[in-house]
Amino acid sequence: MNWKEINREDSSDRFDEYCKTKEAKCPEEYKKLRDEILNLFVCTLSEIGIDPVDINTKNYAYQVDYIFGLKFYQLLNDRYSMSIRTASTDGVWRFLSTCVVPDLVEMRYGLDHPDRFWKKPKRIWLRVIWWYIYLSWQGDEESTREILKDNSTDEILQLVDRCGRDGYRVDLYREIMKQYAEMDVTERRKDQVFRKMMVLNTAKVQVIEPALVDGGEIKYVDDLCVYFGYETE
Amino acid sequence: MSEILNLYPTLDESGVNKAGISIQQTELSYRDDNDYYPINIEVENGDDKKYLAVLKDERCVWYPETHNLIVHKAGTITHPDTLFGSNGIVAHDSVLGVAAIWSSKKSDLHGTIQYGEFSLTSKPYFFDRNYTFERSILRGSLKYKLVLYLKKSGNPYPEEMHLANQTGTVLGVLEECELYVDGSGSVFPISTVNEEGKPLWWVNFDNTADPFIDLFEAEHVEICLNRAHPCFADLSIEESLKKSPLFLEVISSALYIIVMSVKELADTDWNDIISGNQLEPGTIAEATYYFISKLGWDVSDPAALAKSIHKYFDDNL
Repeated sequence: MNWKEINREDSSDRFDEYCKTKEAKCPEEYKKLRDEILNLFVCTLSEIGIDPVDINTKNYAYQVDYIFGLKFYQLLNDRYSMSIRTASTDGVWRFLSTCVVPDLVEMRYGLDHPDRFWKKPKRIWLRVIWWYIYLSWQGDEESTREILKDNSTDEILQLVDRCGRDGYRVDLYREIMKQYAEMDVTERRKDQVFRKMMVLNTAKVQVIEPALVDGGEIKYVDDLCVYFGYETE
Repeated sequence: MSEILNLYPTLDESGVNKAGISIQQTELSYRDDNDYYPINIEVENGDDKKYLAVLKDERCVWYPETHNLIVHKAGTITHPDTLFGSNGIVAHDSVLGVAAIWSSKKSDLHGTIQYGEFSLTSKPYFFDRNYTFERSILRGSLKYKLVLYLKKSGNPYPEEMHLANQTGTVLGVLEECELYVDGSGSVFPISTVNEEGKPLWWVNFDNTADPFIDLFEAEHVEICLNRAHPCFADLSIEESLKKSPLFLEVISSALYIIVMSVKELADTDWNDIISGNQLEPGTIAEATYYFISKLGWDVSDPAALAKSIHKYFDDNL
């Protein structure tokens, strides 16, 4: 796949045009990908058992994000050879969001959030859900789905937004997601443990490199959990 | 932005000398059609311990999207015993490790490479290892920091209680570099556009950027020159700045706008930019610090800034 990029100004124009015309104007060579993405989205809604108008009610938004995210992530990786280099290229996500499937992003966020289409590179919805799945990946879809099912959009924000100055520690984040999933759902939500763990982690990594701890990331995350009073298995 | 204050001794230059630490120059290579080829490291600035460099493949084939990058690192610690005990950096029965902490900021990745470990009894200690970054991982640059760290904690004697004893703690940096894998990394963000009805030039400045994280590049800061403007030819952008007073005036004004915009954006963190504390290479903050500290621009007030930018170009072109 030869991934197209678009700069900020052009994507802004494209977004404005879409807002006026509501036409996706997907280029010919991207039509197959567009159809596949839309198809995955339809499957996602039917799996959850909702219509597009229900997406932003209750906790459906999160269900859409992670269930569609899992399908979308695998489609891009397995059939369109998405790489880390491509996945960290702002222009690629701007292009997908404003030129290929703007109608899909609109279904999730409406048109009042240009940040989710193009304006803030790290907030573009398709990018966010791709990275959410990548940073949570447990080796296969089934295991990843299992650890993500009880989360909310807050966990997406806390995880993906904390890129740090030097990028994501992928193995660490996958371990955090794994151990967090083992905590009691009601308790951890009440305590806002995820946010607290991520904040403490941001401070700790200034001095300690989690991968270099005796026992590696597993031990490091164990200690984070214990600090907040959670013994994981 | 603040300096990290360590509450335990870390490795300083005299410690490096006492321990006889010698690090070999990094060697890079890549695989292409089952053969291996070297990549040259051309240092742009810095010294042996800390430098910025660009990668040059004589075959002009290597590209981070399509080829891997093999990093070879080796070194010797002749007297490891000096690092242990009350005059060292860890307790007598701790284990030290050598590792690299790397990041490729533009691909949002951060990782580690572990080279090995040693304790008080092993001497001298050698390490030698190749590490392969698979293709399509690195983007922009590779930051590589070779460190000593506490691998296993010990049982400190009373006189060793001041030493670091938490595993994973970085106790010293042996070498630090940033290798640009995509281009030189030092291109100033100027672009030409073709937009009728718009001015001759303007600055795009991303007011949502974080100057301490976001890079000084077109995504966030850009000087646009408009080909569609009737005066565009007068800019003579193909000429040098010295031969084109109008172009020089545009660039000076644009830089003024950029520095003032950074100041407004940084707000209460502006002092961190002026002092240059722990600024990440390539960020908007670091570029601004460079203008102020290395080019001597006066940021005390707007008039002084404009004047000092003009004076800088007068003196240096």
